[in-house]
This record gives sequence, structure tokens and C-alpha cells, in this order.
Amino acid sequence: MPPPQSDAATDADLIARWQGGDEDAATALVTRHGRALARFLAASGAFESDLDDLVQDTFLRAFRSVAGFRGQCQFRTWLLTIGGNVLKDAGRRAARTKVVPLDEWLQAAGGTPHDDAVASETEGRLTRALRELPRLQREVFLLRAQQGMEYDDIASALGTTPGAARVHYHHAVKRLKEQLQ
Amino acid sequence: MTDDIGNEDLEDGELIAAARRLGVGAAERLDLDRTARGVVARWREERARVRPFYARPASLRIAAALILLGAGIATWRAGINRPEAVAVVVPTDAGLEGLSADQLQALLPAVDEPAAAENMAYDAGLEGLSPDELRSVLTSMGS
Repeated sequence: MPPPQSDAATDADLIARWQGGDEDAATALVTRHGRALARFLAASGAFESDLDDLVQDTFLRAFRSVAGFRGQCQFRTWLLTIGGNVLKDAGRRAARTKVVPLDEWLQAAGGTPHDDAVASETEGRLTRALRELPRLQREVFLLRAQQGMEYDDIASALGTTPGAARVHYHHAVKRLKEQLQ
Repeated sequence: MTDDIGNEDLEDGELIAAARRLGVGAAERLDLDRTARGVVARWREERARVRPFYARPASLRIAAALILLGAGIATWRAGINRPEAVAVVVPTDAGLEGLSADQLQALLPAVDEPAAAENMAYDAGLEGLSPDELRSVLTSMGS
């Protein structure tokens, strides 16, 4: 019988248990990281109605390739970068299916005018400004500013150097400030 | 991961605060239990669909190719090792020219079975018989 799950169990423990066939460990991983992943995806331009599917797709893709995760960064950072890829692929599929350019899909993904009105003005403007950023700058900014990740972690997850990640972040902040002014 | 980002990179507090609020409402409305159940169920289905290696199409194709190759080699080797056809020597001094058509026809099955004919000839000791005796033997075989 597998040991009971607890908040004290590390991600590495849960991954090992899940790989051993413990489905409760998979559930614990989703419960622990799912909401942060959803915030990241929503801020990256995902429809709220698609969030459930996107979160599931991200975890499944992560589970399939978990053998390639060597603890080079936080599991959550790694998971969020996979989420970015899943979102990009979903955008491409939507663009092919609906014959809508990817940029338009991303612009439309922010929700209804009502949602925009509900959100604060700053958040609404930030959401729109984020969509104008190159993907790498947007992801580095969100991983750093929204998720509070360290540059070393971000760099490992994105396959770049901490210095380059820092540069991407500063470029993103500069452009966002320009857009928000 | 750290929640207290306080270095020079994040000096714009308003920008950072707004970024941290992004997606919070949508994420809170997500039913995580349902999402987790969905992940586990889909993962279970996915693993059930994974066939053992010997049942995968590529493995089956390789196995079929190996079987065909083996059968081809076996056939080729059987052809190489096949013994030469045994020449049937019909004795010309048996006085067959004197036999009737019916008698010759009766003799043909024995000629078609060379080994049996040879054995029969050896067992019967026909080499010591005279042409008349041979003719009488053949006549008796034809009757």
C-alpha cells in the first residue's frame, strides 16, 4: 500500500510514486500545481473555457516526458514551460480549424468585453500588452513576475542562460511599460 | 521559486502586482478535483492503449519479414541439396522386342518405380534367367 500523500511530500517523491503506478500521486501533483498553471495559461492568452483541457493536456504531456525531467529546475517551472508549448499548439490547431490567423486567435483569447470590463483597467491593458510581446519575453516575464521564479530556474526550463533570461525580462518590462503608458 | 521578489528587477510594483493578479479569477474557478480526475482517467486510457512491443505494427512487420526470409532460405537450400534424378536403366538384353504391346504396357508401371523394380529384380534373381524364362515371368506379371 502506498504511503499517504501529504503536503510534505516533495515533487520528486510524488513523481517517483506516480511512476510506480500510484495514481494518487498524480492527483496530488495536479492539485498542487494546477492552479498556478491555469493562472499562467490565462495570463498567456488562453480562453477561460479552454483552461480545463489545457491544464489536462499539459499534465499528460509532462507525464509522458517526465523521464526527461532530471530536476534541472523546479517541477513547476518545467511544467509551466510545457504549458506554454501546449497553448501554442492549441493556438495553431484553432487557427487551422477556424481558418483564423494565430495573432487573431491570441487577441480573441482574452475573453469577452464583459470580462475585460470586470478586470481592472491596469490588468486589462497588461493582458493586451502581453499579447504583443514575443513568446519568449512573455514567458520569462510571467515566470518571473507572476510566478516568482528565479532566473536560474527559468533559464534551465527554457534552455537558456540566466543572463539571457534576465535580458528577456528587462526587454519585456520595457515594452510593457511603453504599452501601458 | 520565491514569493518575495524584492530585487532591482521588480522595482515596478504596479506592473508586478497586476501581473500577479492576471488569471487569478479564472484559475480559482477551475474545478481542480475534476481536472485531476480527468488527467488520471486519460492517463489510464492512454496506458491501456499502449500495446506490448511484440504486438506493435512495426514488430509484426519485422516478424513477418523474418518469416518470409527464413522460408525463402529454406526453399533455396532444399533446391540446392535435392539429389540427382536416378537414371533408370532398362536392360536391353531382356528380349523386350519380342513382347506384345499389352505386355509392354503392363511392364511400364514397374519401369516408373525404379527402386521397386530394382529390388524386385534383385530379390527375384532374374539375371540368371534365360530369355524364355524372363518372357514367361513378364507374361505372368502382365496377366
